[in-house]
Amino acid sequence: MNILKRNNVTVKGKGEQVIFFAHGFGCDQNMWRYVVPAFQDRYTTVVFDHVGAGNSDLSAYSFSKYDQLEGYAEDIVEIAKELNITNAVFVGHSVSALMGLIASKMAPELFSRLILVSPSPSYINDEDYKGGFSRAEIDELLGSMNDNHLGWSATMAPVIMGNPDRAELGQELTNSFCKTDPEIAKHFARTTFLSDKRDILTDTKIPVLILQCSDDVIAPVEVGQYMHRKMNGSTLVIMNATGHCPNLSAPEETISEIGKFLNDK
Amino acid sequence: MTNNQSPDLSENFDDFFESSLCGFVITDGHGKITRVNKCAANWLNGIPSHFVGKRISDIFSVGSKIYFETHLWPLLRIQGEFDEVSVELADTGKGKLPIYINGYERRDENEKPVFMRYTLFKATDRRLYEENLQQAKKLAETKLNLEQEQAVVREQFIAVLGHDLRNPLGAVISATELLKRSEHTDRHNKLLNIIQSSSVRMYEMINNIMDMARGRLGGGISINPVPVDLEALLKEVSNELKIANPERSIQSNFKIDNVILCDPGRIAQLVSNLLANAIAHGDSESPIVLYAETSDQFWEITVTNEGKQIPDDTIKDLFHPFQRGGTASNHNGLGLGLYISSEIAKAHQGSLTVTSTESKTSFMLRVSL
Repeated sequence: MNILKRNNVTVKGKGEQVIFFAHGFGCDQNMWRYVVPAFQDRYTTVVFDHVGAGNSDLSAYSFSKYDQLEGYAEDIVEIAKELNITNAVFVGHSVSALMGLIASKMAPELFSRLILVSPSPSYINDEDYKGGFSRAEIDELLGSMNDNHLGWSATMAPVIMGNPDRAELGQELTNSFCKTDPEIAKHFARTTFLSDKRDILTDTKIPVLILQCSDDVIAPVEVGQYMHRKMNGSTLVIMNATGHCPNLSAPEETISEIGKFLNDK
Repeated sequence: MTNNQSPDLSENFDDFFESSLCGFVITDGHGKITRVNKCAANWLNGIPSHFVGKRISDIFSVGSKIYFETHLWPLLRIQGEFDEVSVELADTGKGKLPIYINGYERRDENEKPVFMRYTLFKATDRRLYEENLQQAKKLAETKLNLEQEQAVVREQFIAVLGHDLRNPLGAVISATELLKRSEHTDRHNKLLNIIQSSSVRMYEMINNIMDMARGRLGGGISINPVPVDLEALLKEVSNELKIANPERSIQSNFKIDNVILCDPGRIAQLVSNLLANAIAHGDSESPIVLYAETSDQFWEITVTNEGKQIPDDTIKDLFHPFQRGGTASNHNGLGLGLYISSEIAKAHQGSLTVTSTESKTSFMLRVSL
């Protein structure tokens, strides 16, 4: 299998040092469109789509492999090896931040620094740990996705008609970005929001930057602080940006924080 | 209306915004709500000023909130708009209201977001309609499965019933056979003949029903192919029918050079069915032609009779079970003969086809080697 095609990998820019940008749950490599160009004059940048997202090879989607974050982490390792990359910088948004930690554990030579944007090791509250959601709330999300209560109404047509092969019934012409197969989106949501990777935080020995947004309903400030406490020598920056996607809502601030960290470490 | 003020009759945009039947929400470029109309506030069980300053995603139920932050917000930032997205408003005492939402982002000359506008449409009825459709689909699927299961049970029942009926009927046939050997009055002989021919016909019908049940139960008709002298077999079948129908003429035309592999009992049954059909439906004054040919590539058997054309709408269902060739008042079988014959053809990896013109009708069994 062609790994670069499978993950729709795009390599651009110039420079010895490589930066890997991984998108999270909900969109594709377009998440990085306002950030990546700022680094291309001095770094080689790599963006890609997780299998199941964007223009990845949907036929490579496996419900058993991608049932845990390790499946995605294996893909990251494969892409880096295919490109002969070592000592690169890994920038992961949202759930991909955790995939980066796992990949770096699987193949320590690949990455020398990790930048975690709006990360969360576990989304569900657990005793003293405040993940942001109760189990019931996550079940509500997964339930809504199961009943097709979320998303484009156009995706309802094939569900009702039972004609998923008839593209004209399910076309999403106006919402062409962030398009996902509903079954894969459901499964990715399950894998993402039921994962608990708090136990691997202490394993990371390389420099880590945590970019935490203020007022992020998906990864609250407490989660960023928790990760910072658990990861010795990590740097925590609470950004002015609000929401869960500073790479889209505050690209300048994101670029500047990543730049500062790369110059310092 | 609870107030007594006379309604404002002038058309203006403020009134349009506030009194619309769809919800409007406006946020700043960061997603903080700056204005909400009465309709949206009402759906959220509050007044517009309650929501100013909150983040847009706070008006959604938890699932929709996550969906908004991970899918819709990125979409708005990437393509500047989205439309017709199904989400739910937060439950603020009125339950989770299903809505459709459109979003639009206004950007300045540097592509920075200045404000965002959202239009909300109530979708309760539509959601209900979608759910009903989905339920109806599920129900129809369940019903279909159930009926298919019941059909199998029914056919198994027919097969068992047929099998059990054959034994007592066999006893009736044997007893009649034995009785006929003694001396009887003409009247008794006539009655014995009626008992005999009726029970033999009944026996054949039961065999046909069992063949049909077997065919429909998925397994098809099983055959036991052996090397067969086709000419001898066909002559035997043709003679049987000639004896039963002495007034009819059956002409044979054989080009048989090879021994073929087939199930002789089943092929005899097939040919007997075709000849009986030709006798029943063909012109009684004209001969029936039984033609057979063998070669290295194929073997075929054709039965041709003169007579009326089979109408097109009868032809299409001719090989389905319980077909009786239109009115067919002179024939009182079950209409299974052609169905079983075509199943026998299939079991031999061959085909049974019909051609019918104004003057002639032919049925051809053809097996390619």
